[in-house]
Amino acid sequence: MKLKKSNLIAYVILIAVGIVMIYPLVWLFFATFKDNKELFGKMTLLPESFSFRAYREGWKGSGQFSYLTFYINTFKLVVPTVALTALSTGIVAYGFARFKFPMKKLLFMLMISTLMLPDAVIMIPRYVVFNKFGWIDTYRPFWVPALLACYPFLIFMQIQFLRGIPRELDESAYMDGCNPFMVYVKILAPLMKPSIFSVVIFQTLWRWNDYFNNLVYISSVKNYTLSLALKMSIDSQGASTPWNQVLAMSFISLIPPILLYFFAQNYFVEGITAGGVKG
Amino acid sequence: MKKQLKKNAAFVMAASIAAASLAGCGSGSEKTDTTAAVQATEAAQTAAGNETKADAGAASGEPVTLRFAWWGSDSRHQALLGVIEAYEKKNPNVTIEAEYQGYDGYYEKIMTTLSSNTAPDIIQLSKEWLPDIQGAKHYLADLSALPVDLTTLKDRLLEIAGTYKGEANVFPCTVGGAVTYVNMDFAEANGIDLGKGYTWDEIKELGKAIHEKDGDAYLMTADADMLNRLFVQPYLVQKTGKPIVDEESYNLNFTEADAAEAFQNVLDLYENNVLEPFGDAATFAGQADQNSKWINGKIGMIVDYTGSAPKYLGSIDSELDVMPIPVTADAKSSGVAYSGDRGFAINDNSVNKEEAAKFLDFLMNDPESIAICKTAVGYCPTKQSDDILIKAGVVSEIQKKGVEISEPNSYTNNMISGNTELEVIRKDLIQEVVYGDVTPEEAAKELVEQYQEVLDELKESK
Repeated sequence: MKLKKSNLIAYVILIAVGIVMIYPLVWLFFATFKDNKELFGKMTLLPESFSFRAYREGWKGSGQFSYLTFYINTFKLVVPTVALTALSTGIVAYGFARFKFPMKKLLFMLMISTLMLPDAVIMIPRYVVFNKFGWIDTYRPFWVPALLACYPFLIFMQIQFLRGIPRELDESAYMDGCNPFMVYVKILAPLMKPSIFSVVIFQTLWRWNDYFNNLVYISSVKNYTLSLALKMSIDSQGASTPWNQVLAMSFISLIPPILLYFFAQNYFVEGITAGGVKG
Repeated sequence: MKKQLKKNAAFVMAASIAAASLAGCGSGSEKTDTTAAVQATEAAQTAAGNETKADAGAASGEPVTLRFAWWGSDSRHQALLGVIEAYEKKNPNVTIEAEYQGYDGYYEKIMTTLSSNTAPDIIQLSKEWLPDIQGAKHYLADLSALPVDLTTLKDRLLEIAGTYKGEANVFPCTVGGAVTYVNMDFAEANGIDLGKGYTWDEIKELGKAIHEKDGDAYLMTADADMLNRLFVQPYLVQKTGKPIVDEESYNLNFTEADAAEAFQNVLDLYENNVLEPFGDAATFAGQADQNSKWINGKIGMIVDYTGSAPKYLGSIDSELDVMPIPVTADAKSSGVAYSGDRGFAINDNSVNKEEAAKFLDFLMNDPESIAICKTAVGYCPTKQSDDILIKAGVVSEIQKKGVEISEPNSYTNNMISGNTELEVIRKDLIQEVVYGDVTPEEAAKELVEQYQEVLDELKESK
């Protein structure tokens, strides 16, 4: 097979850009083998020697809890949140996309306006409310908003996707005796797979990497998630930080989201573009 | 396809069942949570009556749970967890929940929890935060009224590092001042004499010669924060021998001419290539130990606090030593604020103040605890800790020497001189001077004017 010249140029550019994009990750991986002096004193990519000590030491965490706890905690926070988001936002999107009901326009505008609201503005009132409920230091501040579809962007994205699915499919299902809920479950949900995958990936990445909300709502170390644990041993006020251990644990905490992205990649891209174009 | 669908449906069902059951569990424990919280607030609100009840309960061995928050690195986490374990062994009725983290976000978190009444019982604090916290509301308990022995602290340490408006609020957990860290290989190669006690002018000559010999090398490096706290402020104090603001009258203790001289001093250090160019140093702001020139031995000195000794010790291959910070030729003081910048406080809204104080007493005063903590929590704030730790051979020579060097001829800073607003004004002006936007004279005029304005305002609200 002969490559066309224009293709060749495209490949060269793509490979170059690809390397630039992946370089920080590669650097991160090799940095886990360097001690602080080497890390900050030299510019070379490859470490002087390879040893997995940083991983072994880093995994122990603070001594009281190991990274196993933090890993499990992160899953406890992320998995229910993502599952609930996928369920709730889909149903809400279905309502907005397919039904006429009083004040629909107003409600839709309200929903979209919360999308415009910066996170920092609602931080304090939200904390006060969750505190009154006694939800501080639990994962409920993450689960309950997910259950109640408090993610307007994801709702909006799914509405756009639903608009691209012909109404005739619903109608034929009604003819066959389906009720509106079963239409969603049996007909639309399978067709929405790409957009549901996008929701799952977006939400997983957001929750997995979220630092600030975790910091605010989680106080005891036994409930710490990975993003909090990674910062746990960084004291910029005097002590030296074993950066290789922090980086080693960062690298390990990156693996699940990367795997998820690779496995669900096909659906992901399809989901976003479909939602975007057919709006 | 159909099978797939069924599977999916099954998954959805399973997930919703799981969700329902989770919510179920949730509401149960939530109830106990809220009742506990209600009890807590009630007890906090009705002061005396309930408190004695709680204390009586504690004395009879009823289970008590204390929350203890601190920031630090792994070594501090391990030390304090060790202390908690030892205390729990001796007092089986007490459970201590540790809430520890890194430095970033700690202040914000403590402020939020204090204002929403969800704060831990024992809290590690930085001395600088005291006016912000205690000035806002009486959040911290008066330690002198609680069963914690404050007499063990080194002379005057409580007064200078733990007292706010005449009330002992913080038990200082470290002591020290500012020193110059020196790379010994660099010192030998360039003829730096550690015993000499350099003046600023001598430093300038030395630094100029070093940079002329090797265009890559500089004598020192500093970021904006260091210039502010470790160059300009000490310079002003060296001129006057007093803190920059008088605590009683809120008047400035220095003149415009003093300030102009202090700014000129910084500018000279840059013009003579004594300090690494400001732009390069800014890359490592707050982490001078990670400066690649310092690590590679191209920078010989860094002025910093004694508490930072561990991070500089670990950063270079060559030997590290300390010497006093540079002074003016006619210095009335070393310009070093000898104090303790960190300590532990007790939440005034805590239901278990007495129990918390007992633990604090154990943490800071008990020989067993001191031996566990070594210097991971702080450098020897109490009289007995020196003996115990030196005997055990765990005190770092450099840190010990640094603390010893920083004490003679030091001064005691007051709260108002460390005011955050004043610091920010000074820091901004220093940067303008360094970038050549204003002359030192203009900056000095501006500094005095702005300080006057802020101080007048503070005086009114006093």
